[in-house]
Amino acid sequence: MTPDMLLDALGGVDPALLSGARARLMPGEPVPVKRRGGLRLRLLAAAAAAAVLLGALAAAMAGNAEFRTAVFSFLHLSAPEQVPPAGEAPSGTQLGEAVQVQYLSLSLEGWRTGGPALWQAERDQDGTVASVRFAALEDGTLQHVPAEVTSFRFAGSGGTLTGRVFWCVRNGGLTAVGDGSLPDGGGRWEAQTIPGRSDAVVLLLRGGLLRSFDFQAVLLDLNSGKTRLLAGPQALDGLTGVTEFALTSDLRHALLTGRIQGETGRRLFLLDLESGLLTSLEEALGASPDRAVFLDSGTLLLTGGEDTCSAWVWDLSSGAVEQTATSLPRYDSAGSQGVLDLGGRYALEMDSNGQTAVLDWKTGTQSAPVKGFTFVPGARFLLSPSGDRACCFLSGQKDSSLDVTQLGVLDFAAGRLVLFDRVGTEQNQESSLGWLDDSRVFISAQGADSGLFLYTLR
Amino acid sequence: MEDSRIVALYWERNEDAIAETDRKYGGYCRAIAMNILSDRGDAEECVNDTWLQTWNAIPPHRPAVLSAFLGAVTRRTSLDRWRRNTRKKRGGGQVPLALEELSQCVPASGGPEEAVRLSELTHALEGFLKGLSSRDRDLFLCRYWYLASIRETAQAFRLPENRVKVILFRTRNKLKIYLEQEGFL
Repeated sequence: MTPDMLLDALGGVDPALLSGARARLMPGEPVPVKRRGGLRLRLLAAAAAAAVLLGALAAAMAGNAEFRTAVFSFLHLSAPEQVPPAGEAPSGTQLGEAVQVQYLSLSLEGWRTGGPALWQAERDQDGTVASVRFAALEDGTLQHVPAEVTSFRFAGSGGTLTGRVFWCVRNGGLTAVGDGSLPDGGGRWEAQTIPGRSDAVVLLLRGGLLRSFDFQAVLLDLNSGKTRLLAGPQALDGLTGVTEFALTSDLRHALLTGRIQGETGRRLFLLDLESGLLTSLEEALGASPDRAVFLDSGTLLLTGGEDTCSAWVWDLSSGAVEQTATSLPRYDSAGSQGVLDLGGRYALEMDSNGQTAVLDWKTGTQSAPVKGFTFVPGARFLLSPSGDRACCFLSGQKDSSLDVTQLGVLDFAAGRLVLFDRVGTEQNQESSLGWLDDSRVFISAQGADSGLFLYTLR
Repeated sequence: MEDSRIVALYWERNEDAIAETDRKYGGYCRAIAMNILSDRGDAEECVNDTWLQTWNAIPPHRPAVLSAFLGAVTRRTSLDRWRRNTRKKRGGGQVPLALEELSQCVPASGGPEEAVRLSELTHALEGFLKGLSSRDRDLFLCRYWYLASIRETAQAFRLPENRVKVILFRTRNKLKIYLEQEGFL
């Protein structure tokens, strides 16, 4: 062995071990700060939670018979899509009754997608958002959407922060953009939308080495510009390195990822914003969930585990926790079977023959196998913004092109999977694929010119 | 932007993913590359290589901690670049000093190194690090993972440089004993 090998081997250590060193060295990251008093983190008693789990398990096993017997229809369209060269004159086609396609000669380059409106930002030298353009893709063209601006001022422990958030509401959904530096430059703030709310955003303030706080969340009323501290140093005492932060629409609970001071490894926490109770979900469950998501204002879904996949549903009003799935094998592309978590409420469960059923994490029940559909290793799934649908596609990835040879949509609410083949993809460079909104998927392509293929999925 | 959204952009094959990664983690990765290479041009190239490797890795990869993934790629890429530069008689940075210090734990050459698998050594190092106090572990990793200079490490921990050197010296001694006990030396 040589020192060189030691240096290389050190490079492979568990990233969780690095967080403390990183927090010390990198001022852009939240770091531990000295606080008076001991750890104020209040954890739910694991034993109490375990008792709740045992009680709820029987109910979960009874299951949802309706979903278990649910049948997902599968339609593989007989006629493939004949993909034209990108950038030609606008045209369109209909694929069966389910899919309408528009071929547009425009580019979304520079536009950000994924929200109710498209947007692009101009930034100043400091990197702060200085102006934002919003647009909507309607009738085959990009149409300007007027931007609203809310200026705010927030006086907190780190000084007085002023800034602007640019926003628009389209089809009832809010798109909001804003970020910048904290007053003396040591940290950053950014605006984040709150699911189900179009009147307010949460401002996430991340401190640094020289600041008196690691993380703060501030509510901004977009109409009045008024601010209110939602979670500050007092509520998050004992916690550091907060990265993810999600709110329920009723602003009663927040989900966050961070670590306990002096310990390594990030954990998931639930913060009750009314009582100030901060709960380590790992401690409460007695298990290690990988992922947590609010299904609605009153329900938290957790999935994950060590080597297998389990699921828990947490009723936020009663505090009851129900384990809805236990130690299911994870999907292994080599073995082509197991559970593939799609990132929302649903997962796919494949057997060794590729027979596929839809698993509802919330109830722990699964549909009947999707008749006629065989899961192909390499198939990818992308959830729609609402999580009610997933776009599925197969990619050839030739010469840096996505080369999408098969495209479709899995609609969880309608219980339907529609797939179609695409031919002629080799004549274009397909650079990106995504949801434009909950019913439209786009593929950006470059042929003779820039083009956009838009699929409206009924 | 949240890490999960940045990873989603990679999965959508949206090139904004790279701009957002650079915006959020550019400074972090450049700091790692600069520690290793001490050359702004080389460091910039390594960071660009990191973005390219990330673009090629996601999908199918879905890193649980994006910053850790980016840091590890930058570190590996920068060390490779440093070794190439060293063969061409270029390069400085903290690597030669760190290697010299680590030679306290292991001989500079010889021994059954061929038989030692890197993953086994990594696993052993994790066991060693978990047994240290959080301060000593963080300090050790600042110096030998992030390749931060002694001065920078001392500033980060608000300790005198001499104190940092003493802590590192003792930790290296402990590591040597640990590696002997584990059969690596």
